[in-house]
Amino acid sequence: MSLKRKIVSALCICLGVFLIAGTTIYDAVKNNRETDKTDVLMGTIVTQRIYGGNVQTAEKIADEISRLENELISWRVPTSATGILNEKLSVENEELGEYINVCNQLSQLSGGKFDITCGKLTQLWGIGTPQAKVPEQSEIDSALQSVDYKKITTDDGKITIGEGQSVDLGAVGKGIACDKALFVLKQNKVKSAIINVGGSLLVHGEKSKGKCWKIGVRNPFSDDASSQIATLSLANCFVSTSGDYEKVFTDADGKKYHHILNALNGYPEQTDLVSVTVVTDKGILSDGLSTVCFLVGYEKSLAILEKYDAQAVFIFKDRTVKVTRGLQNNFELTDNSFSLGA
Amino acid sequence: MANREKFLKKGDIIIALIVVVLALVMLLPRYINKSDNPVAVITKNGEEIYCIELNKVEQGYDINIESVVIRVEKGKIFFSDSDCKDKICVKSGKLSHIGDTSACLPNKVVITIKGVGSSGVDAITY
Repeated sequence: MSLKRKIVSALCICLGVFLIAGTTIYDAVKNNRETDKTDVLMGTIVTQRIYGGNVQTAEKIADEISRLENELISWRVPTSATGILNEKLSVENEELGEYINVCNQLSQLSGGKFDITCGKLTQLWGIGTPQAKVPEQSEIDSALQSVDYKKITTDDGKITIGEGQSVDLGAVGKGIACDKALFVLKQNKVKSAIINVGGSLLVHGEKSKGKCWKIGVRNPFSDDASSQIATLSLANCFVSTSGDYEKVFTDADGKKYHHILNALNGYPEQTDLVSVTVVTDKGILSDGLSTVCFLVGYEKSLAILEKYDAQAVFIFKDRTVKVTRGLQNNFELTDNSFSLGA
Repeated sequence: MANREKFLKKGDIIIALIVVVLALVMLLPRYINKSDNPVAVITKNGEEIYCIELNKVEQGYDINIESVVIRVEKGKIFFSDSDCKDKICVKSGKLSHIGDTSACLPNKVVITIKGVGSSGVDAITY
């Protein structure tokens, strides 16, 4: 065999070995880089995809969300700060106080339609539970007596509520969980992740250098949970959606009732909207604002969103879609049966 | 042609081809997996307990996870029974698309369809 032949054969074999080794190493590194985890927490599905972290980071996030639920915000847990507040009408907890202050500001902006003291009202309807029912008007009137966010005080870390009041942070719980997830990711120096807490998202960093995450906006008219009407290209933000298709209860006459209650009249709010998706820089705000915008309607939402420097996608009953200016370049309509409104 | 015959013998070409073909064969599954190939992942209490390639299912079968029954069929998977009160999991229907998720929340059992699908999104807000 001549030297040239030997060199060519050796090069071919090296190329093959290089391909095999390269593939194996790439797969090993990729598997190490990407962590997926799915849990049931806060009564919903929590999925995590973390790049550059590890399983321990995902477990820490799951633990933190579990702690948030059980020690702080679940009214169903009697020993949580919210459970104690509802039972004893006062509790000392600075963190819970901060969340309540954010909610009360949203209540004020919504003119009282959004109100976290609606605990008795939501329990009365029980939408999303096997006990869901349409309450008697007298029951609704009675529950409404306890609803008034202005009765809450949060001075020096001490929270008090009025006699008979019951606090329910369900409208912001998933968003707060996303805030907690961001805290853990930063602590563990993770630069890229997507955390989905029952449809409320933390979009952390970019998916890869210069590449945004692709977020689908659920089709509110379809029973297929994977059906989407649009794609948002996003990085470093929080995304939440409120719509009349989630947690729906149908009565004996076939009439449907959704779970977003107007705290002023005690009934599921009827507007020309079917869903609102809010994008902003805090989880508690994306979650709270999506509910507030659904409750107050498109026109009034615009000023509220501007106050928080938040952006939104509104889907109307007539299948038109409106996108606020700051989000238009990130938005792509993917379903032709919907049309973009001015 | 004459030069090549001088330069490379038949045996050399065969060896080189074998090595390159071997490498390509090893690369192939990566691209096959990138096509629309739904994989159902079932978790209980956050731990992955089953991973099923739905298109490879020939005959349907049931998976019992305590009091939850999951039916697996070619290309689809769904909760067929559960002891939970609301039965939302059973009513949620059949999962077949990548990204579909369903859960029996009281029993903490979650089914997620994974893979790189045509929708191409990283998450859905709802």
